[in-house]
Amino acid sequence: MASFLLEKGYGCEVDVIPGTTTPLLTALGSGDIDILMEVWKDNFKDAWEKFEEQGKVIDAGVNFPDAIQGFYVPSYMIHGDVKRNIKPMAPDLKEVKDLIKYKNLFTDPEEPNKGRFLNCILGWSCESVNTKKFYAYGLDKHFTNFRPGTGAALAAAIASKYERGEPFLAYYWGPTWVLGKYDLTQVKEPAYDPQIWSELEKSERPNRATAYPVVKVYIGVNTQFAEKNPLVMDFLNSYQTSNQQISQALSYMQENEERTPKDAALNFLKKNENIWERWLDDEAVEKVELALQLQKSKKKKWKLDIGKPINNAVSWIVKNYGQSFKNASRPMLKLIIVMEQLFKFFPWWGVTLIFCLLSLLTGHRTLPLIIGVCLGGIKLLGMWSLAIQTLSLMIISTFIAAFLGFILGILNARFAQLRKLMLPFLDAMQTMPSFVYLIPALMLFGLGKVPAVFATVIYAIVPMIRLTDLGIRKVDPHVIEAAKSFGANYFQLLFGVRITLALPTIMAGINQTTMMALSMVVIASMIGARGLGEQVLLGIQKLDVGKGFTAGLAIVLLAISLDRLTQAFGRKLDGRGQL
Amino acid sequence: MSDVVFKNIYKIFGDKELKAMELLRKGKTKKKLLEDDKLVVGINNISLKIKNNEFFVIMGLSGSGKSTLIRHLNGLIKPTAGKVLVDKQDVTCLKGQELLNFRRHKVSMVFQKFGLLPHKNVLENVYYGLKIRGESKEECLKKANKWIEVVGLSGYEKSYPAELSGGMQQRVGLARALATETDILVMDEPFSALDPLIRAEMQNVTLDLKEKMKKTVIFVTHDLDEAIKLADRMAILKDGELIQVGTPSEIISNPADEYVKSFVGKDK
Ligand SMILES: Nc1ncnc2c1ncn2[C@@H]1O[C@H](COP(=O)(O)OP(=O)(O)OP(=O)(O)O)[C@@H](O)[C@H]1O
Ligand SMILES: [Mg+2]
Repeated sequence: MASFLLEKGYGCEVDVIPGTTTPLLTALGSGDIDILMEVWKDNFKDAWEKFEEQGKVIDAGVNFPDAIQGFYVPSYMIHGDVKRNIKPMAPDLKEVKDLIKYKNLFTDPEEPNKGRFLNCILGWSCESVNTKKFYAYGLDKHFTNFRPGTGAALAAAIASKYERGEPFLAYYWGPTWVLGKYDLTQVKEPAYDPQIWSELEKSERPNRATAYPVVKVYIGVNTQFAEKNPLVMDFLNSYQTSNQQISQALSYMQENEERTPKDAALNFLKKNENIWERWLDDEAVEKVELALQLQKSKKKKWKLDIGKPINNAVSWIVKNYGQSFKNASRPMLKLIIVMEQLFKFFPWWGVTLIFCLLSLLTGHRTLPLIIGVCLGGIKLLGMWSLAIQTLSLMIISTFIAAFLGFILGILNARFAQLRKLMLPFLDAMQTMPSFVYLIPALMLFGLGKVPAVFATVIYAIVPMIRLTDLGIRKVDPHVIEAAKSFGANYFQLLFGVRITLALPTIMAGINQTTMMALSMVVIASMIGARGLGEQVLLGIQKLDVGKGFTAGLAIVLLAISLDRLTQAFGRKLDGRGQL
Repeated sequence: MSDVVFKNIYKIFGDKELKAMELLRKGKTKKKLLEDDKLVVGINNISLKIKNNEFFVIMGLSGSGKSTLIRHLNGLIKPTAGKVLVDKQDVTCLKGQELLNFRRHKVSMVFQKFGLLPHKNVLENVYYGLKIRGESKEECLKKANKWIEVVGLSGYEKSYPAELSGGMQQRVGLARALATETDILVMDEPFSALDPLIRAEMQNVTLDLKEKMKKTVIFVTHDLDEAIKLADRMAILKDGELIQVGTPSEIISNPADEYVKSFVGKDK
């Protein structure tokens, strides 16, 4: 809306840049973007105030004054849903203190004796506020504090639970399409009280809490831009919408997938001239009116629409088979948790010692030293327990990817047709942005470790398939012929000759797979896998470069250890073949 | 202790083998088949009888089909048409386990490019054929050590192929083939990759064995001296066809055509 009004009313050239809050805020400070239409000051207090004090940004008044936020459960939990045949599961759930009674409805598969609370996005102010609130309400003992890494992950988790008619407890805020589309009920908290609120903000362990205040969402402007463009500032200062208006516009879009944000904006402007004419001077109002009349409805161009069928298919699978997927994933979850506990059972030097001993097997003399230094470094950075979580997730993903990749590689080497068929899939798995399959994986398996493993395996399996296949096919045909002439059968050939001779290449595949699995840790943390990736993400979201870097360094140290270790094993096998 | 009969063997490389067979039988020339249909005629109607315990040499220029022909003997290549009889048994009909057993017990092979297993040492390479057919560890070791001594490689049991010279590698290849103690030994240009001195030495080893053992040996070479030195009888191939068969002296004194003459003529 703002860009249309600026373009048509004031003749500005407007570039619209969508993005997540933190980078946009940083860009606003540095002047890379001039106007940020939504600044949730309360949720990004530190970052905003820092820029404001430095004189880099100012606000141009309120965009909408009545943004809401709080804890939500789906309304069908309380009232049931006759159409979907859902019975009320928690008819008496009204206030936060009622949540304890119903905690079993929200069971966290990763910690089954607690309920799972889907908190605000990792690193946002609301996340720490919610954490404090849970402490103050005494809910922290009964609920795990699950922090999704991105808004998309939280929305997808809510959407998939809602589609299946399952109970959930989540923090959310409005105006958003989620609150527009789904019928959610806010769990009541004590009414907002500024006194208690300021206590809550100051204390790490508050004993009282209240509901969120209704917050004002501001328009942020780069200071230099504001000084140079008083006319635009006048416009922005008068610009004001409301929760209800925005929600209407968002649901207009949600009603029909074809409608773009621009369509929604035009629809709003056409219907609400009395609102926006107050924001502009008379000359600009005339120009905008003219422009609105000239806007023709878009001609529909034919295009190949694969989006809709995919959406339908995903939501069909989620609705009908979601539960089976979740059940199937349970053993894997157990495995990951057991693995973590195993690592935690040993002190850090115990694990390091095990890895050093393992590296001795390769016959490499300096390797134990390198690994000792790397793992010791992780401990020194204070990242050990996080590294353990990352390591267990990674080892399991790598193991699955290596095993499946090995089998598929063998089949590909054997059947040329299969290889041809798989090639485009392999390309897609390597280049398709992970989020594209991360979100459906999350909808199927729920937030947390399992979809993280799933996505990591998809990404990391490719080099294993390719290198196993290549290694087996490039084995000297003369050697194969000789073995055949002595009467070696298929398996004697496969295991005794082909795979054995391909082992160095296969080890290179395992090495690549390990490295690629490690490079997925940050993305995995976006859907709620804990560990080093989460720290990196936290660092980024809070603009805490140091924190991000520390965790990043720990990832690198882990990578070096694993890379050297797998390579040394590869070389050992290679040496045997060459000599 | 076995005799081998090749009976009207045709081998055409390409997808449409059988259709090509038709055309060839109807008289379409090899050259036209290659030009029009992109089909390579590897073996063109070869019939040959190799007697029990004979040392039989196959000669011909590069590309004349020598390797292709002898690989029919243990089913590494299936003919487009024709039969290969070993002791009256048709090898081309063997399938699955029968074929494996035939390869394990009846025929062994030595290759021009050695084909040793690079990840196994000399000892393990030599007993490879025995291990594959399921002989016990003691049996394997006993026989392997014996044949390593026969080919003169004692002391190198624990070496890997890459640590040996070409001549020594081919001794390993030879020992590996001999260790299986099959009736038929097929050698595809076993000494071509070796320098003249070592080649002569290896030929002597082979001659020595020829006297000691009763075996049917089929030996491929394009070196006339080698053929004369070793052969009981020999055959000359050209472009997949059999030109002449006979003892070395018969062929030298009575070459069938210009091609054979050019072969043997050089030497005079
Ligand atoms: N797999 C194959 N596909 C197509 N053509 C082949 C194939 N194998 C052999 N040929 C062709 O068959 C003919 C005979 O080849 P072969 O290897 O038997 O010759 P050779 O007499 O052993 O030659 P050399 O002395 O070089 O080893 C050649 O023209 C070759 O190109
Ligand atoms: Mg050859």
